[in-house]
Amino acid sequence: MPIIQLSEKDSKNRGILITIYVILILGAVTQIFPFLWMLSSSLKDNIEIYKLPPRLIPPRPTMVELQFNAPEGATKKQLEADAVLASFYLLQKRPDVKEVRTKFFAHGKLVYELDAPQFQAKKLWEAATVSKATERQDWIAGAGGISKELGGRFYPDGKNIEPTPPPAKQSELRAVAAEVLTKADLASTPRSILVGRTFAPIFDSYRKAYTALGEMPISRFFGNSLVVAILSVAWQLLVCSLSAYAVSRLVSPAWGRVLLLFFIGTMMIPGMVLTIPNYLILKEFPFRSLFGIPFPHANLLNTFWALILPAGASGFAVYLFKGFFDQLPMELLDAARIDGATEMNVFTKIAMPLSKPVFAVLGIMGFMGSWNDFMWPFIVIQKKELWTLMVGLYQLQNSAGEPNVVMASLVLGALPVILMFVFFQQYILEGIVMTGIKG
Amino acid sequence: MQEKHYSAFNKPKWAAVLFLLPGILTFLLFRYYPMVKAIIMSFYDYSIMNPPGKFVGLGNYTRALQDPMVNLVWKNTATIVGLSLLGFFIPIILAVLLDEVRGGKVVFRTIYIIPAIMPAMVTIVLWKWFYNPDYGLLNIIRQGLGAQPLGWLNDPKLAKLCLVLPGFFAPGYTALIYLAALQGIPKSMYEAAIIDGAGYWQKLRYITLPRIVPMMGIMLIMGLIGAFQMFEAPFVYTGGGPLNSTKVVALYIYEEAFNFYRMGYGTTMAVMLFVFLLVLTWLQVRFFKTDPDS
Repeated sequence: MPIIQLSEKDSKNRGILITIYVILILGAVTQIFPFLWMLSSSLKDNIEIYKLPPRLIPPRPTMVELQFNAPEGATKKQLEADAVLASFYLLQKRPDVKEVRTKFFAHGKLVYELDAPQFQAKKLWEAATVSKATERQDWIAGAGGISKELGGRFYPDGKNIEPTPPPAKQSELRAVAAEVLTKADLASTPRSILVGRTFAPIFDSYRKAYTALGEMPISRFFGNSLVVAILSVAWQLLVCSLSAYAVSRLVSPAWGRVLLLFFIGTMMIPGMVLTIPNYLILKEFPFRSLFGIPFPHANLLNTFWALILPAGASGFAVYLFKGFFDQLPMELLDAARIDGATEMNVFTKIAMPLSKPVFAVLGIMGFMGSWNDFMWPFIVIQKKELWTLMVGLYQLQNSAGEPNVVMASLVLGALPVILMFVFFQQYILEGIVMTGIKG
Repeated sequence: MQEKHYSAFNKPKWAAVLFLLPGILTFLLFRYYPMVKAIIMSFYDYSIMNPPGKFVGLGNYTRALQDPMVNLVWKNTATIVGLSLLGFFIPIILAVLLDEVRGGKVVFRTIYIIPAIMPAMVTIVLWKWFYNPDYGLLNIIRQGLGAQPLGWLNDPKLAKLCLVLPGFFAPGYTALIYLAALQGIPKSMYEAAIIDGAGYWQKLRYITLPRIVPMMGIMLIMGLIGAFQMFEAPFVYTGGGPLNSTKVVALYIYEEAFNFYRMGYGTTMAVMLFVFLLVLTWLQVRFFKTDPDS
C-alpha cells in the first residue's frame, strides 16, 4: 500500500508526491541511457565511434553517386569493370564514404547501376588485384562476379530515370572523387558527381558482428544458446515437477519431509564449490568406477549434455512446485483415480494443467538463467561450434578491436531478454518476487 | 493439517519411486556427489590423469592458510563486497518510491526492471566500454565538467569500485522484491496512523520500514552469498588486474583449477569458501525464522 493515502490530498503530501515522481523520472533516465548508448554506438562506423565529443545520434553516413556516359556500344562486362574500378578507388581513398553508387548512361538512358558499400571494399580490391596482375579479361570476370553479388543491374534497352539536378556547391569530397576518376583509367567518361547521405550502411556493425568470430557466424552461437536454454528448462521442469509431485502427493508425510529436505537442502550449496567436481564428473560421466568395479562412462565435456543435465537439479524449482501442488484440491485428483486413471495420467491430465502458472514462471526464469549464464558454459565447452552466445560475446570483446561491432553483438545478446520481458512480463515479475521468498 | 493433502487412495509405491527416480538421481549426481567429491579432493594433490592422485591430508589447507595470494584474494573479495554494500539501500529507496506511483506503474516497472534482468555479460561489456580511458563515456563526461580523466579499470585504486558501480545502476530486481513486501502492508495501518496525525516521514519510519527489516536481512545475506562468489565481473572487466587488485576468491579458484590444473588446491579453497558461506547461510536461516510474515 502506498504510504500516502488518497484521503490526504493536502499540499504537503502533493509536494512529496511530485518529488517522488521527479526522482523516479530522473532515475529512469539512468536506466535507459546506457542502452541508448549501446544502440547508438552499434550504429556508428569505425570513424564516428572514436569521434570526440561523441554524438548520441550518429549522422547519416555519406554516399557518393558517380554518373558516367557509357562509351558507344559498351558491353555489360565493360560497364561492370568500370563500375567496380571506380567504386573501389573512391572507397579506398575515402573510408568515410560508406557507399558509392555508380550509374552509366547511354543516350540519356540508364543502362547500368551498381551500389558498392564500404564494407565490401576488400572484395572489390580482390577483384582489382586479379585485373592488375594479369589480362583485362580476368579483371572483367572478377568484376562480373562481384557485380552480380552486389546486385548490379544492367538494362540492355536503357531505362528512363528522373534527371538529377547538377550539384549546387563545390565540395571537397566531389573534388577528391573527380581526381580519383581521372586516375582510374576508365572506358566511360564522367558525367556528374553527387554527394548525398544514405541509411543503408548504418547496420554495417551488425553485418560485421555476424562474422566477427571467424568462420562461425554469430547466429550459430545464438542458436546454441537457444537450444541449450530450451532443453535445460524442459529437463528441469520435468525432473523437478515429477519429484515435487511425488513429495507432495505420493509419499507419506514423514517421507515427504525427508525428501523435501533432500531436494531443497541443495540450495545451500554454493555453485563455486560444485564447479570443479562437476567438471570432473562430466569428464567421466557418471563414474570411472563404482566401488572398484569399472563402470561404463563417457566424456560429456564439450557436449550440450554438460549444460543441460546439471540444470535438472534445482532445489528452488522443487520447492516452488511442491508448494503449488500442495494447494491442488485432492477431490479432483481422487475423482480421476476413481475413474481408473494411472498416477501418470492424474499428473499429466489434471495436476499439470492446473499448475500452468508455476510452470510458466519457472520455465521463463529458467530460460533467462540459462541464456544469461556464462561461467559454466565457458568452463565445460571449449569447442567453438558449441559456444553459447555469452561465451561468444566474451571472446568477441576480448579479441575484436572495434567497439561498434562489440556493441552490435551486445544488442543481439540483450534482444531475447527484452523480448521475453515484453511477452511474459507478468511471469517474470512473479518469478522475481518468488526469489525473495527463497531465503 | 498435512493429512488433508493425502487421498484415501492407496497409491502404488512404484508410482512414487518412478516419479522420484529422475530427481533423486539428478540431485545425487550433480549436487551431493560433487559436494562429497569436493571434500575428498581437498585431501589430495589431485591428478587428472591418474585420479585421485597423491593423498596429502590437510596439506592443501595448511598451504592455503600460508599462501599470500589466498590472503590477498580474501582481502580483495571482502573489500569489493564491502563496496557493493554502499548500494544496499538503493533498491529499498527505489521500492519505497515505486510504491507511491499511481499513474504509469507499468512504465516505471518496465524501465527499472529491464537493466536488472540483462545478461551480466552484456552489462559488463557495455560498462567496460564506458570505462575506456580514451573514448569511454565516463571520462568524456568528466572532461566535459572540466575534471581530469581517470584510469578507471586500469587504476588499481579505482578498479574495485568499478566492479560494483554498475550494480548500483541496476537496482530494479531487488527493488521489486521489496516492493512486494511493501504492498503487503495493510491500508488500515496507514489509516490508523493518519488519525494519530502522522505525516509521511513518520509513517515511513514507524510503519513501512519496520515491516521490511526482515526482508532487508534476507536480501543482505543473499547479496553477501552471491557477492562472495563473484566471478564474471572481475574475470571480464580486468582478469584480476591491475596488480591483482581485483583478483577475488572465485577467480583464484578458477585459475588454479582450470589454468594450472591444480584441481585439489582449487577445490580446497572452494571448500573453505563453502564453510564461510555456510555460516552466512546459517545466519540467513535465522533471519528467515524471525520473519513474522512467513
